[in-house]
Amino acid sequence: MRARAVFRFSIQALSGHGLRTGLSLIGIAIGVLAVVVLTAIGEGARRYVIAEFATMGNNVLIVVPGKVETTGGMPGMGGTENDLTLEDTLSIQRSLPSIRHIAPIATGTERVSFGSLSRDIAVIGTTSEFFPLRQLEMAYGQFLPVEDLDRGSQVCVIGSKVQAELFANQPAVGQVIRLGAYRFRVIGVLAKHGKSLGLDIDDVVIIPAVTCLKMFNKTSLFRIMISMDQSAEIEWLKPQVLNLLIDRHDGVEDVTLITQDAMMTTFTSILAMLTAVLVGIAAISLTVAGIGIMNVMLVTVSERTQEVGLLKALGATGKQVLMLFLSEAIVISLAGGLSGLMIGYGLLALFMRLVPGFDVSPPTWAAITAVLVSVLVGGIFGVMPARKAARLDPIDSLAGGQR
Amino acid sequence: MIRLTDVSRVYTVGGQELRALDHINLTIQTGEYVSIMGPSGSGKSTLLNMLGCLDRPSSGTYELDGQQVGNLSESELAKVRRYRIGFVFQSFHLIKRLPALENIALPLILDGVPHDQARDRARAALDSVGLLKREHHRPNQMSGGEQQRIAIARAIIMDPSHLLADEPTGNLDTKSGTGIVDLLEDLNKRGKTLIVVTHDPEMGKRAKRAVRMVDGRFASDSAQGGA
Ligand SMILES: Nc1ncnc2c1ncn2[C@@H]1O[C@H](COP(=O)(O)OP(=O)(O)OP(=O)(O)O)[C@@H](O)[C@H]1O
Ligand SMILES: [Mg+2]
Repeated sequence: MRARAVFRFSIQALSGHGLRTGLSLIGIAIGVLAVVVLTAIGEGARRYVIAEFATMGNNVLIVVPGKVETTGGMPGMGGTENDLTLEDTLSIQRSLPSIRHIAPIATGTERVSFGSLSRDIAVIGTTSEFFPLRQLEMAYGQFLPVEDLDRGSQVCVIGSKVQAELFANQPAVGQVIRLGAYRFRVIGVLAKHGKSLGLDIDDVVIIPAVTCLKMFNKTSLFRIMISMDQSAEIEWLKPQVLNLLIDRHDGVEDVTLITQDAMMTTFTSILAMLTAVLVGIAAISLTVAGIGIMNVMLVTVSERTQEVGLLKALGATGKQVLMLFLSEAIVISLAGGLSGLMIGYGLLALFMRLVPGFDVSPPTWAAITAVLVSVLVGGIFGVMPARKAARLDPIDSLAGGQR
Repeated sequence: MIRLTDVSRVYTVGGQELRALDHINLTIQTGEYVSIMGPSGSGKSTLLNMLGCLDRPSSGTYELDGQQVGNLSESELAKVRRYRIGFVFQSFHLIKRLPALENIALPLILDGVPHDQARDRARAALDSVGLLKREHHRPNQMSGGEQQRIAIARAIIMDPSHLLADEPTGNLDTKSGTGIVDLLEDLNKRGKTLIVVTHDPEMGKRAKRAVRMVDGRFASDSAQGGA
């Protein structure tokens, strides 16, 4: 018997029971839908995070105030947390001369205005070192001047979007803008840069660190960024910086050091865990769906006992009967898999339309695997009912199983 | 040619042995027309199923066209049924969801004949039973007599040498029953061995040879004039 004929026979049998077939394929569809949507979102998140941290550079160390507990110690027992200060920055810079660049970063949000235009904006307080560290480029003017850390002049550098919004086509350099109650002279405009490390560089105002801390009445920095010539030096640098800061902070480890490597490793392991959970969910839902298909096929076989008897009388072998019923189970699960896939792609397309910029196209391997696995589920759970049909005695079944 | 030698078929029901066929000896030449009659439960269907290779002897041997059938495997037996036996049942046994043409083509499809070719041959068979116009009709859109004609077309589509009919007119009125018998006899005249189980004495008389069964044995086996 030809494969096409088997398929045709299955379709004819199933289309007579549209509702039943539809209900039994829902389970598979949901399983596949879940896999496609969740892997797509996972993939999207992975791409997003990789793109973010790729810009960080593997020769960069970031110091964040506060200890991120990963060892499960008792929180709050390690004493009070100290601020991460400009003095800390200075001290690191002085004691570790092999450091290439080091930049303190303070942040805040303030209302920026020029003339009659004004809006809220992210403010970054840093030093001249920030420029080479983040590999920025200037469109006009220059970056923050090299000056002592504790000397904050009232100058600023603005992102390209800020320039466009506040000044339109007019030159910005030399103009004075207001940040809250303070006045700043624009000394430079950054070239278009885009987002990196969760910050839209085009949409910020950059001012000296001290000025920023004072303006927002803050004592602690947001970050300290350090870069080395070689990425290999980072591992050496880490304990040096850590010990120095512990020393300065009365023996309390109250900072967290972030490197690209460590972030990637952490993120990869989180993703692996999510994937494992996803596989678990998929396995459970597909198993339940498979049992549903098995149940429907058992009903089908008992309803069509006479047909099996007839097929055998017409010369169908047990193997052929098996194939016919197995194929029905597979057609159900394949239909379920394909509908799940289609609905999944539909939802993701909708999502991407609503949230532009976050690419969640599902990975091809996931789509293909999902459909193959759904076929497999039909195959596995269809075997038992199909065997039952294949083993029916032709005479008994022709009599309608009445004997 | 059919040759049963000392064939018994024993059912065990609740520890009791029941001999549905009791040491039967029977030889039927190719092209014969045999009717099997007898009271209910005498073993007629059991015998016919045995002849059609749907069943195996509990003891004794069955030789079909020179081949010992008793020790063939399940799938070999299926092939024997496919190529050498055509069944006609009392209740037609058509598949309700399939139109007439596809019901008839079923044995060809099982045999791996390509779809188009199978349809052409099925159409020819449909024509030979005079129902070409019913090609697309489903079983429930046809009368009993027509359904049985479709079933006969299906039985002969593989051109088997033996036609086995178990009460083929049992569900039909006299008129359409006669039509079916005419059709079967016509096929017998063209060389097919025809074996008919029937309760209808009129029909039984039309065969050239009449076998009478009682309690799993032959009470009589006689040549007769036929129609
Ligand atoms: N699968 C079975 N299990 C047990 N006994 C059976 C089975 N099949 C048939 N028999 C018995 O074998 C005997 C012969 O049955 P069979 O069906 O051949 O009779 P029949 O002559 O065709 O009767 P009818 O004219 O009513 O169709 C009966 O007594 C029946 O009960
Ligand atoms: Mg009977």
